[in-house]
Amino acid sequence: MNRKRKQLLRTPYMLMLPTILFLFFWLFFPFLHNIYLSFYWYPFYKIGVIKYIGLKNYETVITDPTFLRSLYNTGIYLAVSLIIEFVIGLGVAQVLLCEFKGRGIIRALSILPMACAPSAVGLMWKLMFFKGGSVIDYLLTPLGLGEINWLGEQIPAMIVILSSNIWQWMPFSAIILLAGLLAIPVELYEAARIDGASTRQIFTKITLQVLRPVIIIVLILRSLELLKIFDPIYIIFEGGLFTESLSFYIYKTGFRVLELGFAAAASVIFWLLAWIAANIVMLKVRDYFMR
Amino acid sequence: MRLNVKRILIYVSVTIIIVWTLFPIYWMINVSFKRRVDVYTWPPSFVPPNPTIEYWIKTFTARPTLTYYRNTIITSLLSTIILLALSIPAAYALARFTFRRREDIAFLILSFRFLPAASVVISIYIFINMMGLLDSLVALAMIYAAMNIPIAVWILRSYLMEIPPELEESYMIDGHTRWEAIWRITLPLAKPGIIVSSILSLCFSWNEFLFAVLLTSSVNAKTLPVALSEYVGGEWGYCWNEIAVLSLTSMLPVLLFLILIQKHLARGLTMGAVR
Repeated sequence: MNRKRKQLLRTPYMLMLPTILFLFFWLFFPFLHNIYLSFYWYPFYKIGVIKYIGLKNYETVITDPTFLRSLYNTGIYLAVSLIIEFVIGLGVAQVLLCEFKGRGIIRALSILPMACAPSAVGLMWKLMFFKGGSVIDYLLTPLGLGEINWLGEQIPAMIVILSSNIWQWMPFSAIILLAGLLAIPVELYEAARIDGASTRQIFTKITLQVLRPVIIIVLILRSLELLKIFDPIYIIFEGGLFTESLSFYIYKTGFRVLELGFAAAASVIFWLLAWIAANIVMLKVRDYFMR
Repeated sequence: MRLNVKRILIYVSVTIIIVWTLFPIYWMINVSFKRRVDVYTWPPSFVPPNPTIEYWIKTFTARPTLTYYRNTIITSLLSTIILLALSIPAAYALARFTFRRREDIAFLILSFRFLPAASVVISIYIFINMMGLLDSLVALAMIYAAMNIPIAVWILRSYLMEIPPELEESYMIDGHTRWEAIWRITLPLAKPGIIVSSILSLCFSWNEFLFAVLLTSSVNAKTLPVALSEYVGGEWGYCWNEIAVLSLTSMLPVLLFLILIQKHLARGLTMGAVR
């Protein structure tokens, strides 16, 4: 009996062990190795060279204007995309909640952008925005903006990246918020209406309040994704102009400039930032995932 | 009167949503049927002036597109199989057993989901290089599995927790073993969760770009997103027609899968937090 009991106590650990080992091998171990590497001069173009240089890499990274630029850009992508995706996403969710003909089909169609490969989206955008007579220029003619060099100037370029990202991931917010809205009991609205609440009051006092946990989850999941933004920058601009993000900066220093130690230092800093950000929100996340 | 205004508002908004969502797709379809010379006309043609299916055929015959498909399918399936084999037992343990530090372990697993790929990419590349696994589908599948296991464990756990343990117990009282009970009772009931986590894993692996572009270098292992990025420039120049065809055809399976799990999508994407 005692033996059997002991076995039963061990069972959950035995069941989780392979998974945890797998994650440690593929993610945690590289993560540690990455920290180790960040203290070394490890050029990929000189085979066999690896030399301890202390904090030198970190010094170079945080004084590199391109790094600071990529940090700034990531912040811009994160903030702008997060807000627009959320606001439009909530609007779309509200619309998809209403009764109209073909609602089922429209709900299904609304997730279409998420099904596209990010590299395909990047290429679509590159085609729709090319210089000298693209379809977007044509559609914008009535606005009289004149010819915009979408892919060749700083601010238009960032708009191109942001719009591709918003197009692809707005549905993510929309469907999760829609699920949240669908879970709100109709009686709640009816009761408020009987009490004489205005549409606006219902929205701010009921919808937004009840939806709060869902809103927080959406914002957290999206910001963690947006922090990693890489694909459109690689595909559309090859990091050109000053569009690069932190992920692209790491990719570039590691695999184009071939300074692996340096790239490792940059990625440790990147991880630290993500970690701090995640920790600030993590205490909140815990509450919401533990329902 | 007021009601009519509301109706009109709804239909206007729905129209805007449809146009916004479908325009890029429509433009790809449009371009895929154009001749090369019609891609850059001014004003842009909204219907192909001389429609042709030349590029639909060429994409699959003149280039190793089918091999890229094979690579993508193998990688996605393999990573999903690894993912299921590892995350079902872990999720079961976290859902059914009470043991010390259970929630901490669950969050340890979840925290891997929040580890940015770019912060491990350098070392993963070096390891895979040392193991001689560069340009192989197996390495790619393993990494994708590792990246998706945290999500899958949490989704599966959320579904498993809804199944009352009494069902298993009463089946065991009838003289069956625990494994039989899990196999016959619990797993069939957890099927939606298994399907949702598999499909999300498949779709992720199908579209992933960063690791795919880094770890593959030849036609032996390149997946569709990487192949796509290479139809730009190079010896062929900008091949917009082929890009359009490939974008559309590679999107289709993912779209079908996502629509299939539409009802569970919000729950899956939030790892069980939103029902």
